[in-house]
Amino acid sequence: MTKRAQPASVRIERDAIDDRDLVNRAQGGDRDAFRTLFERYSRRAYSLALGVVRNPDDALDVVQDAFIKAHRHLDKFEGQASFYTWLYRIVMNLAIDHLRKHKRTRAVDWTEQDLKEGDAVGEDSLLPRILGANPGRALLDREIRDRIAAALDELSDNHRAVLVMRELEGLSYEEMAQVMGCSKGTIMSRLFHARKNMQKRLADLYEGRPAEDGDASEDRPAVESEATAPPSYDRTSRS
Amino acid sequence: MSNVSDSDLMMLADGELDATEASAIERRAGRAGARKVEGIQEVGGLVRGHLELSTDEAEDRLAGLWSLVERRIEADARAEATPAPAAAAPAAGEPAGMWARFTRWLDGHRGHFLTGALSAGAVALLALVLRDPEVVVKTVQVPGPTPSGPVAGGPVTGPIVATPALQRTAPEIESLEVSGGTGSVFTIQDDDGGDIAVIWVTPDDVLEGI
Repeated sequence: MTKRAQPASVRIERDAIDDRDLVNRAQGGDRDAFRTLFERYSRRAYSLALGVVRNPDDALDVVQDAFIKAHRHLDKFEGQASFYTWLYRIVMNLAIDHLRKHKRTRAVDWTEQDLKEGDAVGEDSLLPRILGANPGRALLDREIRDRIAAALDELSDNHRAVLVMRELEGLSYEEMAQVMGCSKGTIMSRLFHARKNMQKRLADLYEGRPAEDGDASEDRPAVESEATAPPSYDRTSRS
Repeated sequence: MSNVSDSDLMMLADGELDATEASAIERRAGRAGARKVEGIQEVGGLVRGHLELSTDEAEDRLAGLWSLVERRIEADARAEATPAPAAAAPAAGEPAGMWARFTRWLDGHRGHFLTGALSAGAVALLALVLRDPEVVVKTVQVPGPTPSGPVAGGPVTGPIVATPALQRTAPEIESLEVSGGTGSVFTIQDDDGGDIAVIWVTPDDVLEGI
């Protein structure tokens, strides 16, 4: 008998119910329940922390501190949001706090003005697709990965934090504005410039190389690996 | 060239527009706009893919992280169960040294600070267990007094002269583990000109934004 895969929405709902049960048990002192939450979300939390702080050791520290903090304040968690939504806020706060504490000398964000719907941003703007159809394959190239890492490192802390929140967690502009404590326009501006700077820093890598799927300008649907699938036009729904 | 702004295309790519607005922008954007949207999505795919692969590389270390988390959870539980140490009674005729001035300065600040000071002495391991937060100084290396005469290659024949205070250095704290707060180590000079290492602990406040 063929087992039918559950739709994603069912899985998300089931995980949320499981999480609530695990949180209830952890609130009652069940260490194993908290460990299950750790095992379920530590990887995701690490990706988020790494994207912001950029150093693997620091990211591990952030994840560790985040789970300690979550455990310490578990009694305050009322389940209005999902456990992970609560956790990622803790991770983001700690990661941003970490950056503030270990402030390095770097360029000031001169592009910190708000951006609004319909704002013209000039000709020096976002670029079309540069790598071809399959970034998943491109990432197998160590040189490309190193360049992506370097490009992320070179972004300002604020630009990188917004880009990572958006691309990894699918946060809306409004949600990011709440996490970062700034206006939605500032979030849009940071996101725009983060993307533009990433494109600029990666563009030369492909100069002279043919795109994998031939001419990237051709009107052809992109085939993405699951790990690198682009965000859909509809934002991922989260509780 | 498309007459749609980049900010509109970005909102389209990020799902920030409702269905009506999205289809209007898509119509106006044309092929050039669609390619910019693909460019935005491409950056997203690269960032996600890069972070996924980097996380794969940290899998082993992540697997070992639970034991550290659990240890700190247990330290929290112990700290909660440990009664707070009684406050030291103020001595009559308070000494007028640097440390006294420093503690008076601390008293004058309303923040909740827990401090410990290490003078240069033979301390190998120090653990200050306070109710909340818990502070554990894992390793303290203390430089010994510097002999004033030659010592290498034979017995010391001359008198061993105690290191003057001016030459004393503060112990070197290799690691400081603070559960429930943030710890800092800094050095102040005492009245004799020697150095004292001070551990400054600020307890965690209420969790931000939660």
